[in-house]
Amino acid sequence: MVADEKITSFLRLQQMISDLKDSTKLLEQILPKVLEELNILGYPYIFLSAIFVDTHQKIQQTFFIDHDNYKMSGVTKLENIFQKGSEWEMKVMYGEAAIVSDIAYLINPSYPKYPKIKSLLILPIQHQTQLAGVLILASSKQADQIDREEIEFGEMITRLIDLAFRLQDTESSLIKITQQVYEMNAKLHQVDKLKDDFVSVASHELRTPMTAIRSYAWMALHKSDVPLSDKLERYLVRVLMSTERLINLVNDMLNISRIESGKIEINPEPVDLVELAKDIVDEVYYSKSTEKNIHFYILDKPIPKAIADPEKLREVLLNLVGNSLKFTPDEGKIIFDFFSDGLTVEVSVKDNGVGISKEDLGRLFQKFSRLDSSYVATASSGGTGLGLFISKSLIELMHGRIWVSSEGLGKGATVTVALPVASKERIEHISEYATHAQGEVKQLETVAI
Amino acid sequence: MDPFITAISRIIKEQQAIIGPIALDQAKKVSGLEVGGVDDVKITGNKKEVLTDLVNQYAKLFGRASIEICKEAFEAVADKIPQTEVPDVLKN
Repeated sequence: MVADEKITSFLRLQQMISDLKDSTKLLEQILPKVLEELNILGYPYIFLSAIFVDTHQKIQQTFFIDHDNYKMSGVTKLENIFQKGSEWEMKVMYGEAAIVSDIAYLINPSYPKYPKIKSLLILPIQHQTQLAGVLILASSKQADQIDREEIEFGEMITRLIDLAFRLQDTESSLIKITQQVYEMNAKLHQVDKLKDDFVSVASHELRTPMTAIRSYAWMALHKSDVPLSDKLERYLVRVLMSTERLINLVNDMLNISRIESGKIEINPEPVDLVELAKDIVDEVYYSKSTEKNIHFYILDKPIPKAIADPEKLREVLLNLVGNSLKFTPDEGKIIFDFFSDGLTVEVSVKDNGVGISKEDLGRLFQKFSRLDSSYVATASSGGTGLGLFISKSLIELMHGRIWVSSEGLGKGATVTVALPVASKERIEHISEYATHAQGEVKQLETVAI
Repeated sequence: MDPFITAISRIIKEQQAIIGPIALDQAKKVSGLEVGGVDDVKITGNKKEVLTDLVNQYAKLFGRASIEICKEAFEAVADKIPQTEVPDVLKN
């Protein structure tokens, strides 16, 4: 039975383990205290050595502490430990304490306090049922003076040492893993920077010659001083369309790169969605919708203003209208509708175009999500398959949501954007809806319709 | 602007790009440094010591690689700070 003062001593050590802030040096700090406590309790230990092994009994870590803070390596003859064969080793292997009188086998005689050592109490340090190491306590008592209570207390101490070792090991592993994750993240960050630089440079380099090609193709088509054959006109139209498409793709890629690298700012303010929809219709009506004689309807109704960045929201709505224009047949219609539940305000862009199949709905907001059913329309209209991805990214930056619904192919589609209502409280804390750019602020390239 | 403030802001920003909001949390633990955000930094202690402690704060958790990131971030302002005031940990 272990006496009260020993329990107190044990609890003191336990408390110390839980109080230590730097667990990576736990054993270095706790082992001298263990020896100190043992000495205070009257055990005449001259030194303490803790030796930790792996599952194959290969030595992992060793500690040597004596009460004069004597620093010496090689006091314990590590080469003679776990050689398997001696009686004490067998006992320790089976989880029992051993008392050794033949100290010369394990202790280097050059150790100045060697003459004082009369016996060694060797205790297994166990983790669950596995041997994790040994604790060697060099005593000035003869072997036959070491009693059961001393061994029992020693065994309790080994549990504490095992706990400290596990904590230290866990902490060290955690630090190692954290540092590995950091290094991987740092490398990814570097690669990401390179990618951004590449996209940015490549896009600019591509855009300049393409703009020239587009201009000359347009001039050849519309300002030619010689009559064009039907064949040549067809070829030029194709050159023009393909170049437009490439320029749009480059612009979209630049926009994605800017959004993903945090170069886009969101400057929120209360926005009247109905007014914005009217502006957009005015803008596209004369430029695009007249070509296909598409009719716009704005279901004007009283709704609260939304919190949004008007420029970015305009880009998103232009993109949505652009999509509807691409996929709605001649004489079709595009309807703007609005709704608010008091917390969010929604704007929907509904068309009676080609519609979207159920399977395709989930893929719409992915990069390059050109749907099979719309490929022909996309290819001929200059779409890049990136517009909805960009729209979703922008809407999410504005704390909103975007989704698409469709009854199926041939039944049109509705894209809805929901944004926070610009309530009085929200306007007071409008800065919470802002996004600041990381580094240099970039503008979005214009959306192609 | 005080080049030390710029250096600290740049270091926090670079760390933030890698480890996210933890970068700010760690910077807030440095004594002599008041951090409201990456662009809201005040030095109340010895500038050289604060900069050293900030680098070490990251190094303690994230190791050698984090020092390299700090060095890269510091490079852009290195010539605006006298060599004697540059923390050893940031010298190449």
